[in-house]
Amino acid sequence: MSSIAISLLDLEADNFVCLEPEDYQTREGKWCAGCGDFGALNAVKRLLSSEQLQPEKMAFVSGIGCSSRFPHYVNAYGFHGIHGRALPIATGLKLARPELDVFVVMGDGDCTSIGAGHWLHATRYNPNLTVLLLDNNIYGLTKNQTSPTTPQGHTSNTTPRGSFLPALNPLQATLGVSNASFVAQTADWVPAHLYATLQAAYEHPGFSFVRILQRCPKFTPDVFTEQVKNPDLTELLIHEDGVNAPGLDKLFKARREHDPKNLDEARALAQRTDMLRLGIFFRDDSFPVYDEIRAVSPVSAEEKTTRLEKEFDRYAV
Amino acid sequence: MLYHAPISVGLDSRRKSALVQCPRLLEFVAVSSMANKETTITEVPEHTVEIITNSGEGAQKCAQIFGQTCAKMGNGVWTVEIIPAEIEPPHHTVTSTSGNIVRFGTGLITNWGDQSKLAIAFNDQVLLSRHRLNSFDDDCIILLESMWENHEDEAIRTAYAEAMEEMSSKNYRFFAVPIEEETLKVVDNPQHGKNMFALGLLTEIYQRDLSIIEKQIAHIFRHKPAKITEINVELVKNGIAWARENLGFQFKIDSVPAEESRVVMNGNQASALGAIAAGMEICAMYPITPATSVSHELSDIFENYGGMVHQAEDEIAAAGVALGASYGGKVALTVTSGPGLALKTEFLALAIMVEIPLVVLDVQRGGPSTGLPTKVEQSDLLAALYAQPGDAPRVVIAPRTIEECFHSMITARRIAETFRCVVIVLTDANLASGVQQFTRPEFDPRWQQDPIDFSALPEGLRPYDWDPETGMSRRVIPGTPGGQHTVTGLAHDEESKVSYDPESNERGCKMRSRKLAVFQSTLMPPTVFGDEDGDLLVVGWGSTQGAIEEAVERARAEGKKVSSCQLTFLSPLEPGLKEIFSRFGKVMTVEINYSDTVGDPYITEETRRYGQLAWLLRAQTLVDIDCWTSCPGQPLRPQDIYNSIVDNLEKGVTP
Amino acid sequence: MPSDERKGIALDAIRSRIELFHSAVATASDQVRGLLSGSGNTADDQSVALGHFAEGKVNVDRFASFAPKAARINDEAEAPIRAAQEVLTSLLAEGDELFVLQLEEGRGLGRQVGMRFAKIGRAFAAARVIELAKRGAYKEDKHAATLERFPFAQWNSSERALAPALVIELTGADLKPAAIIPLLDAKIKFVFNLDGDAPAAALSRVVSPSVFVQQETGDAPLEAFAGFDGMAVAALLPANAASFVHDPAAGETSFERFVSVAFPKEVKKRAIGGLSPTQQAEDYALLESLSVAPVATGDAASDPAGKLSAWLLSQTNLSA
Repeated sequence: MSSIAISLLDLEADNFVCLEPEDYQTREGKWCAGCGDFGALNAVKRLLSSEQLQPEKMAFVSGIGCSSRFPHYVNAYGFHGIHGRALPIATGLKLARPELDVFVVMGDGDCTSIGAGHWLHATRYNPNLTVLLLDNNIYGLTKNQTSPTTPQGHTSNTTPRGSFLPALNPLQATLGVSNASFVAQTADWVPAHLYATLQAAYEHPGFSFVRILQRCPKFTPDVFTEQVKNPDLTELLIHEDGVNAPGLDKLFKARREHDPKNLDEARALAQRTDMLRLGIFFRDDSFPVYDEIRAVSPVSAEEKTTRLEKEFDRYAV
Repeated sequence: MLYHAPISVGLDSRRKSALVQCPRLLEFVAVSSMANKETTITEVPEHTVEIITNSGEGAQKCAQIFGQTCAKMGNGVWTVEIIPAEIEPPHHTVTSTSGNIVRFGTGLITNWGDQSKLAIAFNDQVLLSRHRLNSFDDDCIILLESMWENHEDEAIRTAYAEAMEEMSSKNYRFFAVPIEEETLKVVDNPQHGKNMFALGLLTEIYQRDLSIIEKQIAHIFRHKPAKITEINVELVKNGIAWARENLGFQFKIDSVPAEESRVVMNGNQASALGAIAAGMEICAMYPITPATSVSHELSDIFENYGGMVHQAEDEIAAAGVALGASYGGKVALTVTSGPGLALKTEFLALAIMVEIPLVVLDVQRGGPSTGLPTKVEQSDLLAALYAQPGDAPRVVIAPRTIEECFHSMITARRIAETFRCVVIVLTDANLASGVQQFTRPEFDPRWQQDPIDFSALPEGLRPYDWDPETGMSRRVIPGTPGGQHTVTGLAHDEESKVSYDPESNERGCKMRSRKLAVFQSTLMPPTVFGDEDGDLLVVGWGSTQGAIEEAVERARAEGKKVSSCQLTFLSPLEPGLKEIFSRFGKVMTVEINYSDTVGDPYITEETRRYGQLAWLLRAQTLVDIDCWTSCPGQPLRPQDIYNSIVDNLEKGVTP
Repeated sequence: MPSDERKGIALDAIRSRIELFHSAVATASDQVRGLLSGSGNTADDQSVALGHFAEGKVNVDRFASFAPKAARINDEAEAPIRAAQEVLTSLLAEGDELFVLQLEEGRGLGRQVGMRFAKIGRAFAAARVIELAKRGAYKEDKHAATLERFPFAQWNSSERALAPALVIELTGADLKPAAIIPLLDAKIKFVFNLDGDAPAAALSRVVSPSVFVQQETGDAPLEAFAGFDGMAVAALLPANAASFVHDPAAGETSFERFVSVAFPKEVKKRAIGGLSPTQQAEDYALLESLSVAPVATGDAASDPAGKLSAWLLSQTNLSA
């Protein structure tokens, strides 16, 4: 079926209606009070409104977990799939419908544990997806189990005497993948930065991976308490090609000029644990984008029939 | 074609008895004494020929040309590959066997038949491996490379002598042929040429039309310099001349040229082309034997048809990408084999739950686990039907012939879209690599017809607006204005809202299952091969059709009251089965998978585990159906099925 | 360079435009077939769509009764929609040749391009007819003729945005590029593939701030031209012509926009077609005035502009 490409029959322009952020929400999010997912939802609504995206022309794909409820609350097409496997669905959708804006919402268990294989490969395919990792360092929906990003020593139902291993660093992992084209980190308690980061991610042509640090009010309320209280423990990565949110200058004194084109420095910064760093670690929009390099032009049924005849000549007896 | 010698029946009996009296080395017919001997021509309705070589010696090409030539001359043909599991196993060993079996005859050939009547072997070890598989008829004619018997390497000589000793248990008729020596007269590297000399031998023995062979060779080497074609034709001609000088026998197999135009291909090629003809646009896959060659075919040409092959990072992602593309409105396919089907389980359940159409082609191989990667089995049936936890109704269909491999893709797509469901198409390694000719399809653009209704959504349409009678609902794809909703693998209601209440969940289950019942109501009862009633009904499914019907025909020719019935719809099952079964004294399935044999240690009627189709039919019809199954890693032979028919008739009626 | 090789370069340069147009037509064509067959509104269509595998196994009529049904078009709409469908199919069947115009000598560039556009425009007319017919607004006396000819002037802006590009094969005598200026709009592209002699600065008259213009004398692919998202004109010329690239995105002033310019060492002094040596020199002077930045000081003979001026002076006898 080739009817999803541009068709002559679809040429008429749509009527323009201005959509406010609230127009992009279908219903109240059913997350716990204080959940970081609300902040992400608000930032996304602002982004959709500022871009004036048509609700039917975008899709939100998620896996399983608290954060994967996200699509239910957005006025768009949504796919609430299975645990860890949002990325294959989103990749297939984008291949099928490159003209749609496709967003992917995953939690830390979803993306970095059960879906880790897809995460690595989707990064390399570099399809034009805006990817949100809502990382609260814990499995919430299944009630408090250690995830790969849980800090070492943190107690949970599966590690009652503290988690055994150093936490996995999703930035480091993503930056290690060939063809990774956009890697950023932001936090739910800095809404202006969160919004500006999503904006940059949306504009980036390719797989834009945004790790959003957040707290689970039930199971990891304290993971970022220090950083929330004391902005000096956070360093903003700034650059004319980076995230430049207004009003943050006063709040964050630690600022580092980092050119997002510099992959070596990005990797070094992602690895360091001395401070929390927010901003765009890396971006390069010259990398091959899977849905662009694999784009195929539609062929009409009559043309296919003619070509099949030729194909069958090869097998004729 | 002219025949200079009178036609006789059977080979010269004197020579045959002489051979029988001289086992092992002496059974070789001395080449010199054979020279210029008058040729005996034997007329037969069909023959099965094997070309057996080390892998990499070109047996496939030889057999391919021979098979194509037979097909073009109007013979029925069935070709089977003998594939080693390794890419390049050590040569001159029993594990290095690579080759082809070509069965051809006057009429239609529907399966690989019984044991081979003639074989060309490039060495004794590969020949021995086939002997051990009981591949040859007792008086099979074997043309064996002559260079090993007195080879300078003692180990080779010893192995040769031992092999010949082992094979002396049968009455094979050996002919020593200096294959390599003759090939070296034309080319420097016999590895690239022996196959064409062998083709020459076959050409003479079966009086094939040389002009057709020349055309085939020219076609195969059309991208190479003309010289290559000339050399290969010269090798064939040398083979012909050598056979004429030295062999002294020929077989005559009449042919009836087809009236309609035909094509010849293997099942995987047919499935791939069927996918294109069905208007499929994306094939997401992960490499797995024996399914992968479907995607090879597609990778080569799919983009000319607006399609693409996505090689995913794993089997799971392949299903996910296909599902995502189908969600977006593309016609999507994923191709796999048993172990891959196991991995796709969760995504298939999701597709069923969210009611997004998806076609899955499962080219079955031997299992469980990694099992027999290159060999045939019909043991994915129950997994294809039931692998998902939870109730996950889906359609399962099974093409029975290579032609149906092509056409089933078109039907599979249409069913998937009409009923917003998963359709699993089960072929197997026998169909995948078997080559057969069939009527050239007449393509119709309507096969590609868009199933999606692009008219504006009616006010108030819900994402799962189930018709309470049928469970069917209109599909809404992303991009449709006003249709925004979130599909979910969680229990949901008509609005696609997550809904855990008892009523919603039961309604959802009912609606998804109802669609299958509705589809079943469109199916017709299967046809019975043979009489409508009798003593025994053999029930098979999928690729065993040819072998089963051939066996049934043999039994019926002897007056036995046997019929057969080959199923193509396994879920939902074709209607009327119980009624058909009731017309026979006994019903027995024939399947290529494992079942217990009563009388084996610990195995009783109570503990016995049945073949998968028998299990399914017993559950569905409450008829006491017996089964005869076998899992030798190769297609069933008509003779073995015939024997089981006779056994079962002797055992008498169970019900 | 052999002409088919140059034709290949020219077609490659407009490939993405051809594909965009082709894909829109192919997609529309499939949608119309769906509309006409009602995606199985008739049991016959459904039976065919279900494929031969279903024969003898599926009760096709019954299956059809469950198949999804698209909105059925009414009987009056069917004839014009079928006619429109034939237009789409016939245009698709022409393949690349629809976008290659072999100019008949002496019959006028503008006229012939206009005729080809009127032919390509039949696709847009077909889409309009389909919409009109669906809405019951189709009037045979008014609309039927548009399926035969639908000239450029009647294309709307979104149709112009989808308009394909043309490769025009012609001799130097016919290259009067001013004739295509009225057809330059949206993202329309032309590639002139010249046979024989050509004026050395043939395209200087189409240079304007928003038009990408390229003259190419070698066999390099026209990548920048192909990639430019807007109106563009290119010419593949013999070796004795000037080569240059005028890229509207490269700057404010005209000489900034000339990202590369190479002038030939010598130019033959003779008329090409109706274009006298004087006229050719005028084109040349125009190209120089647009492409070379004014030089305040320095040795006139050592900078490119100076060289060009010197060359122009040496050509004054051309006008004699």
